[in-house]
Amino acid sequence: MGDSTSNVTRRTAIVAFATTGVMLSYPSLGQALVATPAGTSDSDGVLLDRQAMRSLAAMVDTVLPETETPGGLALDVPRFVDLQLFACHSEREQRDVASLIDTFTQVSVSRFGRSPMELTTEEREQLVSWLDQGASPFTTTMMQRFRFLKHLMVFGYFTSKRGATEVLKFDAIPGGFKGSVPYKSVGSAWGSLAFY
Amino acid sequence: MKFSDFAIDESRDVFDVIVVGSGMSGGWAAKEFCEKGLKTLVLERGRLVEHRTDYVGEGKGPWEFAHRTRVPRDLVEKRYQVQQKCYAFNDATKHFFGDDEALPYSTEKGTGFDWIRANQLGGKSVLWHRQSYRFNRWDFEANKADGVGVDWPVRYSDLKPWYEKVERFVGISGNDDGLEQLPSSICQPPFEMTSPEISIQEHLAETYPDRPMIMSRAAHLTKPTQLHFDQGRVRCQARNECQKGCSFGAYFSSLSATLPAAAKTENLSIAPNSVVHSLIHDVATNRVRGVRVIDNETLTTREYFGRMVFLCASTLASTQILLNSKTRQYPNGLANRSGVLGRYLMDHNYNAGARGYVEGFDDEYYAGRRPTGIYIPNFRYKPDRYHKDYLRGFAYAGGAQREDWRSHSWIDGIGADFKHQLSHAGRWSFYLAAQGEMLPRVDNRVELHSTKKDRWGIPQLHIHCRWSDNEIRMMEDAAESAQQMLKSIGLEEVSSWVTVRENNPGLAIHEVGTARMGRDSKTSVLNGFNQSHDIPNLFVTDGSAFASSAVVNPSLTFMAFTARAADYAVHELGQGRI
Repeated sequence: MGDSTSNVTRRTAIVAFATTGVMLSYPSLGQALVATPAGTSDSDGVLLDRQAMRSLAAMVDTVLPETETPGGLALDVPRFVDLQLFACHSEREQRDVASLIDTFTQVSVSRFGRSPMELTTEEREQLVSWLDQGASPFTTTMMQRFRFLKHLMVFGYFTSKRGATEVLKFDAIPGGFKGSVPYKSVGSAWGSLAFY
Repeated sequence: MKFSDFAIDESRDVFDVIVVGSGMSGGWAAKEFCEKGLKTLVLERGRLVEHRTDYVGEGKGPWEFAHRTRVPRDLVEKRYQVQQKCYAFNDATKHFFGDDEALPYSTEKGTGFDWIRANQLGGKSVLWHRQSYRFNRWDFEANKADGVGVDWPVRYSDLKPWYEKVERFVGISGNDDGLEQLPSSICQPPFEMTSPEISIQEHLAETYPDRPMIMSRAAHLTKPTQLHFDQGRVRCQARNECQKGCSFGAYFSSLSATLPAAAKTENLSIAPNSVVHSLIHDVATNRVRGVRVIDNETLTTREYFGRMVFLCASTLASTQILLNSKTRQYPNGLANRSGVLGRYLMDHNYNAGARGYVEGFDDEYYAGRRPTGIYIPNFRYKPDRYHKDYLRGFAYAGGAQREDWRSHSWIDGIGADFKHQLSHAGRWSFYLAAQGEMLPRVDNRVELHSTKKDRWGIPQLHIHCRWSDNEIRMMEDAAESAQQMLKSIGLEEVSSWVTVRENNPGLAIHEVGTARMGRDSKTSVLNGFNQSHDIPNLFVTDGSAFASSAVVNPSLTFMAFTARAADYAVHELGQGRI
């Protein structure tokens, strides 16, 4: 009981530091807030170590690349995933994701001779596609874990300010409900949702 | 106006009436009594919540929350293990939910009950889903007709004028649908249906003409009257973030409507942080004289006195107070000569449904977030329409909307195409979710725990509650029926669900019963005016009084009963009978 209480206290303290803008214990979030260029954030996360954060960044950049809209790295999705896993998800989910990223990194090295961040865009797409499809050497279980991780990335992307308001259409106070409007008058999905 | 201007601490006054609770029922009791000129004390066990200024989660984007509206796991595990089961629980609303750690209760082995709490000014009227429907005539006759429970001592015609009164003040959006199974309310304009919903409505009218689909009725102002402007309330802005609190006052709550109305009279006092321990009973007169209160924060005790007591503390809380008010005359709890206090606990059964995809309508979208959906009223609403395998019936709530990234993100795909797909609206999906009646059963009950107490020294509730075979069969039929209906109109990939075996009662947050009304004082706690059979100046007007659950959402009926009971009580007081 004593152990679990102190763990809880420690976790709470870390999360508090990481989310209140106090950057002393979490310097990279400060960098991220000043629009970190894609892929340059390079430090330990609160859950994942530096190497895992790099691999996660490679995944994010492949799943949500920069197109006519910002990529997942520009919206700091890897940091979000790391913190969200740590603060809101079970230890089992945390272990599953950490282990998945570890396997992903190992496969990158064994198949391509380099870590994920050092792969070409095409190689990375190949590697992440295998994982997304559960193709060898990845398993169905790994695929399912990846789908969970992917959902977390997408959640982080579209609940960020730019994701919700620039990539999607955001209307904080609609003023009323219209049951039928032409889709093209909105132009994208709504980013303003009742429940996230 | 601030509620804090009306707050009192200690008082030696004898109030005309003490109202325990400030939610859906308590707010109405306060308004009615204050407007009739009675000096009224409202007791609230939690803190004051000021309309507008205390809606701290309102109007924020998800990025403004540390975890994008999710509540950290440590906090959930420590304080919200039950509350987090409510769909509306998140980081923007959690301060309006009770703290499970501070509000313990137990359940009998082999049974379960998820008890959602909202212990601050406004109570669950701040968090409610705002669906507003009248009982129909068969709802009041069903117990007698089916030989289940006790007969309601009231009929639809008794309550009808009070429904009308409440509806005018609350403001209900909807249509005059002209259905005998769902009496029309006094309504403001309905919310619009989406194009697929209109199409589904038309097709269902052909395949299932006896199961009409209507726009739901919800307590949102769509065309406010002067009565509402006077309350400081304006038209609904279609944000659908109601549970965070609404500064427009566009949905009805006791904070936006009834308590401000009470405050205008200068007859209102509010005692916050007043956890009612028990009622004070005077043996000589057989009247309640007041209440014993433990301070929520300091744990000190105090008493308040009044000529009448209205218990509006919520279904289980009002019963808990009565059970804990034991005297030599009432060894099993005050107003419990019948012995049925605590028994016949019910909820609604929200554990079945079906969904499917609507093809086409790719150029169609909607604007705004409609805070309500479509509704198919109970079509098994009288005995000759019952299913052969079970008693009573169910309604369906539902709606059509386009899929978005929340569901897309689970599908396969990566890269630019995947990201593009996530950024756009997907297929139209449509669902029907059952809302079933639960029968009153003597074994579904609450009692005071023999040893466990809460931090205020009040014995905890021990709850025995489970679904009966009637409810299980009903949910199986509801899933099957919904599936057939959706297939009959050509929806794609139709699937159904039944979760009645996995989910405890409680999560519909429509707990009713445990201090039921009845005609016979030997088998019921209250008479047809929500007045204790045993003690004339004691009333219970929240859901505890229900003799059956019916199918519809209960809040409108809580309000109508409360307004009616208050009117009766004032009359009886004037006649010297209380």
